[in-house]
Amino acid sequence: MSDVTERQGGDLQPREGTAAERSAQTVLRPAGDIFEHENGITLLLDMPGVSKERLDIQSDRNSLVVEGEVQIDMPQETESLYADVRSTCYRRSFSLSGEQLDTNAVEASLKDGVLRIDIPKRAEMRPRKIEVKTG
Amino acid sequence: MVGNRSQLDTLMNELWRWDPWDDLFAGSPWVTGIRAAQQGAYPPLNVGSSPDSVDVYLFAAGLDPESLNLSLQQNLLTVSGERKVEPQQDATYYRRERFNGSFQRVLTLPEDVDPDNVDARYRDGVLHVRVGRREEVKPRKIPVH
Repeated sequence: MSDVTERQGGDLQPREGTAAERSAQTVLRPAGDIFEHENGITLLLDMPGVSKERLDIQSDRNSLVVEGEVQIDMPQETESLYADVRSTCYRRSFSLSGEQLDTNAVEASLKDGVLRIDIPKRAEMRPRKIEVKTG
Repeated sequence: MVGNRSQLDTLMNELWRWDPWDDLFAGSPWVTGIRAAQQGAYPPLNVGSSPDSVDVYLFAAGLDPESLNLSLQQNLLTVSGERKVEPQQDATYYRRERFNGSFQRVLTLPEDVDPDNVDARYRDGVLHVRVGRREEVKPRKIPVH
């Protein structure tokens, strides 16, 4: 059983950007929870300051890329006094195994800056209840 | 062994959050002040200053605004609250990075803020606290006759 879990764990490995990507601009890496359950894999990513309009999620058979832009209302002539958050751009990418996950059926929702992405397993990969007949 | 593991995790978090801008701002009095937060304090916040107000932005996604406590004592702003991330039952976790628990951040605002002129709103996971500046200390244009 543990073999299966380990292999499935490999389905969704965070993949850091290339050095060139990282140096081109500073991006924020949203903190995330990732878990697998019976029907698929769920990602929860904290992206405070991002609205639905400024969120971009792309997935294909092998990867999932999430990008978002922070927009906050600031009065005119604002000067920065202090900043923990020094970028307005979130980005995180993951590699997927399309054999097990149905990447065409990815669903996403955003509430109060928390992005939830559900990637279902292909029907044939879901656990099936096997009835034991007695007789 | 467990201790080592968590130290490693902390180190990884620091690396992930490392930002060359930090070095650039390291000399700022805000960062070295007595109430300066340690790196990675939750929630991260930005403070902006404009002629009319001081604006504090706390980046805290997925909070119930009701659970937040804000207080402003003279120019000392305290924000505390709790974020509960309910674990999913019957699931295998691969990553667990999101903040879970109670938090507090205290910051000293410029001295001319007006504690009677504060409003706070929560949108898209960002808590924006706007504190007005006292009228009498705003810079005034002095006409030359």
